[in-house]
Amino acid sequence: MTIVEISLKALKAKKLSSFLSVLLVAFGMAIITTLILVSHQLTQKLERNAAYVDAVVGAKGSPLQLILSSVYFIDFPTGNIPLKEFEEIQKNRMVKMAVPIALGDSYEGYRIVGTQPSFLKLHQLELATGKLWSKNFEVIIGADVAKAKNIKLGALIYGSHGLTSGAEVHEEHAYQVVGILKKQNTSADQLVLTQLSSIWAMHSHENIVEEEQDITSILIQYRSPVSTVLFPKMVNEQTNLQAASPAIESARLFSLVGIGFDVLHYFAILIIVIAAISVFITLFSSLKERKYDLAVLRILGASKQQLFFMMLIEGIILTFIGALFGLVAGHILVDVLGSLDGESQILFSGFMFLKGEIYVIVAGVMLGIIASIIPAVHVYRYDIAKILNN
Amino acid sequence: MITLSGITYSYPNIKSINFKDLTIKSDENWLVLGNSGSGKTTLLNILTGLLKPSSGTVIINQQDVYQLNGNDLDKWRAKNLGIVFQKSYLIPSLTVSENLLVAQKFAKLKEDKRRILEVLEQLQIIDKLNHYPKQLSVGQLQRVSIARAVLNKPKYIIADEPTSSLDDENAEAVLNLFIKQAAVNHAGLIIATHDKRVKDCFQNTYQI
Repeated sequence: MTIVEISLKALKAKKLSSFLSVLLVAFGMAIITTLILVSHQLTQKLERNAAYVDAVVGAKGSPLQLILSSVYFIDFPTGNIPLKEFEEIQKNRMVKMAVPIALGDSYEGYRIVGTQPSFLKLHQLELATGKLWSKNFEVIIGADVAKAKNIKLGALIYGSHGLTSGAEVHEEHAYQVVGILKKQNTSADQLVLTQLSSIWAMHSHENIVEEEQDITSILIQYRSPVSTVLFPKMVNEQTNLQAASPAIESARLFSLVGIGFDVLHYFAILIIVIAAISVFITLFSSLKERKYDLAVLRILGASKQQLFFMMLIEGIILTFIGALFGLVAGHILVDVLGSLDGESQILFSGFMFLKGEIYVIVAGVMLGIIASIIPAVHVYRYDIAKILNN
Repeated sequence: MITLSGITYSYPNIKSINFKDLTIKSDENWLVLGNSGSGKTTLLNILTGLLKPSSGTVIINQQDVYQLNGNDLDKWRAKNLGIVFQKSYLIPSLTVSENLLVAQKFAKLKEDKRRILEVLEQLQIIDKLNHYPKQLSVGQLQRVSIARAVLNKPKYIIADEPTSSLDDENAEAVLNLFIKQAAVNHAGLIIATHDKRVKDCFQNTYQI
């Protein structure tokens, strides 16, 4: 019979109030864990997607929208630009690599991207199997698309007009899958890639002549970092287009989303403070009836320090279990969030563990100490003769 | 041997109590008699190191009790004295046997389940081994607290009104157990009581 066992049994004897304390701690810790996981994965995903893209050139409009649609494939495109703009930009000496993309169609919610083989080079994508397209209506697909739809090489898929599933299906032309990409853990996993002319040909009944061949945007990689300032200035001043930087726009996105994160964060801290108070009340109110038993433990040879630790351990057990449950609940919550929102290109996984989570456990233990220190000191100072004489 | 000499104790605003000097040999059985409020509990508290007297000394087996401080006093008391209070004071979240295990643990003795069964057997409460205190009657609780006091074979067994909550039959059984345990362990026995039924079993009495 150790002190920890005695503490555990004492907590078991007051199941309801112990449960409430554990629940409150778990709730607060689950929110914190979720915030840690989501913000980490969001940042990571944003950074990975934009790793090789220095700028995006597209139609005028919201620069954030341009970045979201062309780099992260989540928002709608800003509008179309003529293909000849791409040829102009490509000639610019500040540009190391320029990759055109044409958006507009989708396959079961996965975006079909018309582009050039340089898209693979820019994003450093590799084929897991198959080959690159060689003619119209041949596509290569991202690893997630292949897995989710169980698509093998040679399969025929039908695109539909628009970026959301369930829209009008282009039944007249099927795409044939000729290649499947390796898993990248970026948005590329959820794309269907084809050559530009496939997209134009798909809409050929609209009689598009060569002059009207449009694209959505151009992904740019600079020759030197100096261009970070010069190139957007040049584009914005000398053309009808705009140039947006993924780094700047995702930072702006984060400062917008960040407010929500902060609010949640303070909310979680508030709950944790309430949890600490609940643990304190649970322990302190139980002392009224327990003081005789604790005094008798001293008669049986327990030292003041042992009783002090017994109270401390009771507090720590409550908050530690709460923190553990909170951690598990946070992971489950993130995984559920990730699996719920299938259309979004930012998928969260609950099966990822971060160093920061150790601090959740450490915080749990600290919380227990803070909540139980006053009851522990109280017990430490017991005048056992006075208690037992009453 | 216990020696009390020159003990006085004064509660605030009340005339101080003077206790007669007393010497108890290690295998003697003593009865402390006095009416309610006469100071029996005060004397027992002074004797067990719980209440420092205003003056005088308590020496038990060559140890001046009030020369010990804090943890040393707690440890010394746990090793040398088995104390039974008026109330049982068992830990409600632990079973009868767990309450006794705790007594062994804090006295820094090895867990000895056989000893626990032996004591519970002698107190005829072995069938309540795995019951919680709230499942027991007052008399049963009292017997468990006696079991806890004699469990670690103390040098002296000290009890405050141990029979007041028991019926005639149980009171006699409990007294016999006290006397028997004291004899088996060569322990002295000091019982404070106003219970007339107890008187006949003791040769030595200390009247307050």
